[in-house]
Amino acid sequence: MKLKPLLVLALLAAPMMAHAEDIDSGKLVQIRGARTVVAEAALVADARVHGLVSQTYANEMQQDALDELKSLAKQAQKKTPDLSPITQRAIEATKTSDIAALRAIAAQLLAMEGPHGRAD
Amino acid sequence: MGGLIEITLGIMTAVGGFVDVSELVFAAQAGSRFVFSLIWVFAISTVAIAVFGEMSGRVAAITKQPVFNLMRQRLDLGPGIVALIASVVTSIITCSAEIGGTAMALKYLTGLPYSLLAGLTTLALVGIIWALPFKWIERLFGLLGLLMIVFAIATVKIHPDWGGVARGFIPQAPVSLPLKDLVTYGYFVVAIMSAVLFPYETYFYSSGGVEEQWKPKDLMVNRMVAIVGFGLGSLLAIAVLINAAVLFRPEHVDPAIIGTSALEAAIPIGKTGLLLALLGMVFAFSGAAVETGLSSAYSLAQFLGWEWGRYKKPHEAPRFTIAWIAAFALAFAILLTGIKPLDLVEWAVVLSIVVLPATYLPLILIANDRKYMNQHVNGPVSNTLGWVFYVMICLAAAAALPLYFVTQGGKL
Amino acid sequence: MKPDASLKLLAEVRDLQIVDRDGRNCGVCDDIELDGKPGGPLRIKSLLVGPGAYEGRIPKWLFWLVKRISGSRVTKVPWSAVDKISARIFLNVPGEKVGLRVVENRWVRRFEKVPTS
Repeated sequence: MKLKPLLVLALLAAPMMAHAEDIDSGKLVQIRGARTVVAEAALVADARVHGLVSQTYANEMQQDALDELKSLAKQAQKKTPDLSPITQRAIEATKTSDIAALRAIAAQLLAMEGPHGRAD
Repeated sequence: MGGLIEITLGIMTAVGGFVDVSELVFAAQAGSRFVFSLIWVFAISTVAIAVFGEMSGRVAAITKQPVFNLMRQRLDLGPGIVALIASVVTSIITCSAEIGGTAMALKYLTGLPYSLLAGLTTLALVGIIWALPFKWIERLFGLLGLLMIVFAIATVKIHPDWGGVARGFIPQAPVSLPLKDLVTYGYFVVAIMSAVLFPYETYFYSSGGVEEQWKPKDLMVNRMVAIVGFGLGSLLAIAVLINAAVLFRPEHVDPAIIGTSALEAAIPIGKTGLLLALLGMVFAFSGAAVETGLSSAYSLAQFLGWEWGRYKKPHEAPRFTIAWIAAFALAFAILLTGIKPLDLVEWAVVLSIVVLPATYLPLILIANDRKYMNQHVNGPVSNTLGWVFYVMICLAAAAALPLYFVTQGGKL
Repeated sequence: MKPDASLKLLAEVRDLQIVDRDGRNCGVCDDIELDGKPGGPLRIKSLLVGPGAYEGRIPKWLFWLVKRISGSRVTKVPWSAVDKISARIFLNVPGEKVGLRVVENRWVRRFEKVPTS
C-alpha cells in the first residue's frame, strides 16, 4: 500500500511539529480551556437567574465547572504559572455564581489569547 | 418489510448516528469557533454517508451479506484481522463515550452521581437488548431520540443570519485565519467527517438489512431511508452548530462541558427546552451506545462466521450474545478508569477515520461487482460519488493523526 | 457456482461464510486444501475451517497471537459436502455431519440453561 510510507512520515513529523510550537501552544490550550469553562459557568449562572434552567442542572454544571477549573489550575502550575491566580479567582466566582466577575475573568483570559482569541 | 419499521430503523440510525455525543460536541464547537463556515462539511459528509449507506443496504439486499463479511473477502485475512481489531476497538471506545454522555445527561436531570448513572445505564441497555424484541428497541430509541428536534426549534426561534447559514453550505477554507486556527479548522473538517461517517453506522445498517431479509423489491425504500434518514439527522447536527454560533460565540463559550449544549434549547425556550434537550440527549446517546455495542459484536461474529443476529434469541446466537455483553462491560470498565467522555469522543473520532478507508473500499468494490450484484451494480452517480468520497476519506485518514497532535485534539 | 465448475481464483472460495443445509452459520472458509499432481488440474479436496488454517496466510507474529487466543484447530470439510457457492458456501449436509458447529453448539447448550434466553 503506497499510503504506508506517507503515513509513517506524517506520524513521525507530527510530534516534532507539535514540539516546535510547544511553548506557545501548550499555554494557549490552557488559557483557552480556562476561558471557555469560565464563560460556560457565567452562562449557566445567568440562565439560572433568568429562570431558564432547573436548579439541578445549574448545580451540576456549577460542580462540573469547578472540577474543570481545579484540574486546569493543577496543570497550569507547571506550564502557565500566571494562570494560577486567575483560575483561583474563577473558582471563587463560580462558587458564588458571581456572573459579573466570571465575565470579567473570561474577557481577561480572552485578551491573553492574543490574536488567536477568536477565529473569524 | 413494514413501512413503519423501515422508517423507524432509518430514523434511529439517523438520529442515533448523527446527533450522538461526538456529533453534538463537534457541531457545538464548530459553531462557536468558526461560525457557519463548517456547515458544508456536515452537508458533504451526509451525502457521503447516504451514498455508502445506500450501497451497503443494496449489497445486503442482493448478496445477503453484511459489510463485515465482505471486508474479509476483499481485504484478505491479514489486513482483515487488523481491520477487525481496529473496528472493534473503535466501536467499544465510541460505546463508552455514548454511555458516558448518557450518564452526564441523566446527571443534569437527576443530580445523581455520574458513576452510578453510568452503571445503571449500562445495565439498562444490556437488559433492554436482552429482553425486548429488537423492533421495540428500534422504536424506543428511534422515536424518543426525535426529542432532539428541540434543537431545530431553537434554531428557528433565535433567528440566525439565514444568508450566512446558506453561505456556510458552500465548501470553503477561511484562508484569512492565522495559520494555527487554519490548522485547527482542518482538524475540525477531519473530525466532523469522521463523526458523520463512523464505520459502525454502515456495519449496523447493513447487518439490519440482512436480518430483515431485504430483497431487491426493498431497494427503493432503502434508498429513501438512506437519503431522508441521514438527511434529517444531518439537519439536527447543523442546527446545533448554528445555535452555538449565535448563542455561544458572543459569550466566548467553546463548549468544554457536555451539558453546555443543552443551553442551546434552554436559552430560547426555557426549562421545557432544557428538559427536552436533555431527554433527547439521553435517548440519542443511548441509541448510539446500543448501535456501537452491537456493532462490535456484529463485526466479530461476521468475521468469524458465527451465528449472529438481533432477531435471534440469545441461545440461538450464544457467542454473538456474549460478544455484545462483553462489549458493554468493557465500555463501562473504560468509564470506571475516570477517562472523561469528551476525551473518549476525541479518541473515537481520530481512530475511526483511520479505519474508514478499510471499511469503504471493499464496499465500493463489491457494489461494483456484477458477479455479486447482477444488474444492481452501482449506477454512474453512485459510482462517481463513491470514488470521490473515498479519495476524500483517504486524505482525511492520512491527515487525522498529524492534525490531532499538532492541534492537541482541536484545542489549539 | 456449482462445485464442478472450474475456479479462477482462490478468492472465489476463501473467506466466504459457510451455511449448512438447515440455513445455520458454520464458520468461514479459512483456507482450502488442494489435490492434484504437478502439471495436472488442481481440485479442491476440502475446505479448511478454524484458526489453525490461518497459518501461512498471516505473518508469524499474528498467527502466534491468534493461536494464544483461539487455539489452532482445523476442521476439514470435504468438497463433496458443498452444494453451491454464491456470496456464501452452501453445504448439502447439517454442519455437525462434517465436524462444524462444535463450539457454537456447546454454547447453545450452555445458554439454554439460562432463563429468558
